[in-house]
Amino acid sequence: MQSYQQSDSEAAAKLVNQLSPQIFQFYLAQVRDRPLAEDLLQDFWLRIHNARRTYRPGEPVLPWIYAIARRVRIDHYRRTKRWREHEMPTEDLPERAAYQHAPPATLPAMDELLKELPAAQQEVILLLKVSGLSLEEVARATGTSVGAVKQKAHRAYEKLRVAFGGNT
Amino acid sequence: MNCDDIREWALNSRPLTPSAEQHLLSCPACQATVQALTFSDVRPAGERIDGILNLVRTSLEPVQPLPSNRALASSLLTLFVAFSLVATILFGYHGFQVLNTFQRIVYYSVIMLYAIWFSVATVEQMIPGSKRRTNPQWLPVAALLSLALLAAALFPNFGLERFAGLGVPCLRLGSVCALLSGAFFWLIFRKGFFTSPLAAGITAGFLAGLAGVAVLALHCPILNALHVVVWHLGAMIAGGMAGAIASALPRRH
Repeated sequence: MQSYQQSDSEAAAKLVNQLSPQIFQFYLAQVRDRPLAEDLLQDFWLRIHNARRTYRPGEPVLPWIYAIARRVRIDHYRRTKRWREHEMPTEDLPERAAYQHAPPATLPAMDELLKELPAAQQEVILLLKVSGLSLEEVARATGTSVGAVKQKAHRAYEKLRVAFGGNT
Repeated sequence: MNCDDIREWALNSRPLTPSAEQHLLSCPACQATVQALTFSDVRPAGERIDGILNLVRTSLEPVQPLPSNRALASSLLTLFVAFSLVATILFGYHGFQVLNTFQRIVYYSVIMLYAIWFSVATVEQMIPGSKRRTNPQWLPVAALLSLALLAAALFPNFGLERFAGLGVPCLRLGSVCALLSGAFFWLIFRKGFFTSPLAAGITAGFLAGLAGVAVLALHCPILNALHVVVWHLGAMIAGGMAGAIASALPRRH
């Protein structure tokens, strides 16, 4: 990250190649649309690029990265919400367009279950289990306390267990 | 070996322990839970990664990382003190003259304490993923409530003579000072990246509003609790509102 801040092209390439898969998964698990997840990934890297001076050498990288990734996702959600509120459907979409945006078959089947969780719990689960962040890192990335993160993860876990017929 | 092992795994990013794996063999509910929380490896298209790399490379220039949180908070605090003193010199320090020593120590110390607190909270909002030591939702409420209680304790005069006539000029001066100091704070604030623009805008706005309150505390000679609560602290609320509005303005990324 420090080399990237010093305009090292190789370091930038390494960072993009290393982090893109997990950030892509983070988005894909939330939006369930591969082209959209890729768009968000691109937007994410532009923001990272513009905000790179806010990273301090010696600080943990992942909370910084995911705090920005999360912001990109929230901005996208708000933007689409505004569009949906102002858009009036004039004609039916062609079948092909609908097909192009269908979730890919590579997504795990259990993903549907996570969809039922509230957004905040889903996000915490994704950061813990997809991105492999620690509780402390998730707390930093989401701007909350470790206790709040633990509580959300615990509630999500209990809901999943109930859904699978386990005891709470 | 029981469901608690799986619960522990679900609440952390660590891999499954051998005892947890043993438990999975005999518990279908835990098996399903682990399966639901295990994501397959899906990767973005290679061309998209190449496109991102090209975008990054075309505008790759060296950048200087921001100074530490302490340095940034100190800069905000220095601006706060400098602005309050300069404004007081310009408008007069009648308020300082009419307070007794005890009132001066307590009133100005509490304002300074909140200035430090708001500066730290503002800096935390500027840096993505930084450790949050303050809650930006409760800090303005705590500041307003404690300053109101302090005013009631220090200036136990609740008369309403010429309440609006004397108060409106104070609110106007406080709000103008809040806006001006906010413009100075923006010089530091704009260097950050805001993951919660609204919280950041409100926190910085309240810091600017507190600068207005500090100027009024040094300038205004009216020792009336209601006057201070409504018209002086009103400047702080005006600052917070201005910050909230500014956070909603379109931003460049």
